[in-house]
Amino acid sequence: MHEKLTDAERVAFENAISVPPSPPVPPQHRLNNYSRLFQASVIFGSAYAVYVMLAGVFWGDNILNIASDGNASPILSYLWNTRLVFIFCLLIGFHLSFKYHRGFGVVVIIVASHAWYRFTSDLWVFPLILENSTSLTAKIRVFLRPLFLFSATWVAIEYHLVQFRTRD
Amino acid sequence: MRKKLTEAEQAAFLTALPDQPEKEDVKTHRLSDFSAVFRFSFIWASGYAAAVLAAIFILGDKLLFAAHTDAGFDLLSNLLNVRRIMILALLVCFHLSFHFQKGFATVAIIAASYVWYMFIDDFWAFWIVLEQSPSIIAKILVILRPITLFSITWIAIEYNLRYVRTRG
Repeated sequence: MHEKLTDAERVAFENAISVPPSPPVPPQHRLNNYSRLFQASVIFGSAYAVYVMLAGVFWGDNILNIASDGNASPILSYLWNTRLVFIFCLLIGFHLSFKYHRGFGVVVIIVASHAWYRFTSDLWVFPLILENSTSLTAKIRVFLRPLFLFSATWVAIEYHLVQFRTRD
Repeated sequence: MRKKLTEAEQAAFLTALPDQPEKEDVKTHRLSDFSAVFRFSFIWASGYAAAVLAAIFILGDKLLFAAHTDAGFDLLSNLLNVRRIMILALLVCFHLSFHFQKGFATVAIIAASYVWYMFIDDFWAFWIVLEQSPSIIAKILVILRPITLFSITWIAIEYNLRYVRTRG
């Protein structure tokens, strides 16, 4: 036979039971969780990548400077196509990994190193590709490039400072 | 005037004090802490990079396939020089950051992405650079390249899985 608890006993019983912790709410991964500079960098970097891709799709090899040596142009053209594929893949990977918060730390390092890899190649090896091009689109791209390099690097740095730590 | 504590009081006082956490030993970062695949990959990747550097320093432009035009050859020669600088810089950063346990996770990802960029560039745009070279050393380097790609990628993956954690 069950005995009914008195009010005092019930209160004591309820106090004795530890309140189960509510499940932690997964943190939202939104752009506005980060600094203004991070937000501006993500937006500018994405817009720059889209601009480069559109320029590559619409103008194609016309962006390249092929006046200096016609024989070198097939190499530059292949290189240009390779870059377009890379930029497209990285742009998709960048936004998907940010949205789903999966592997963004790695993707952003890959994006930044890709930007620097291309820049150093252009600076030392292929200055004729864009810098000497007669195309206005190419000139705008070259002019905005330092900003893009800064943006990509800053996104990588801030994200790692905010999200990562070493295990020990 | 200060009162001297009795022995009982002294003992009670010492018991009440929280234990001082012992100083943790500084963790050493040795190759032997990692898996056999990691160790092999580390040694292989370093050896391969050193072999490539030595080949470029000793043989120089003889590594390249020079049947193309002079302008095209100059382009490839410049590219090889840029790669030499990049590989040297990455090799030094790779070992220093591993030794001092500072930023190795990032350096490993950058090194892996550089190796993949160079491979894809060669595969799509500059297949004439090494693949068709008459040099036997170039052929050996090309044959061994897939192992290097695997090695450096594995280093980045294992190290990041082991040491890097999100703050959340």
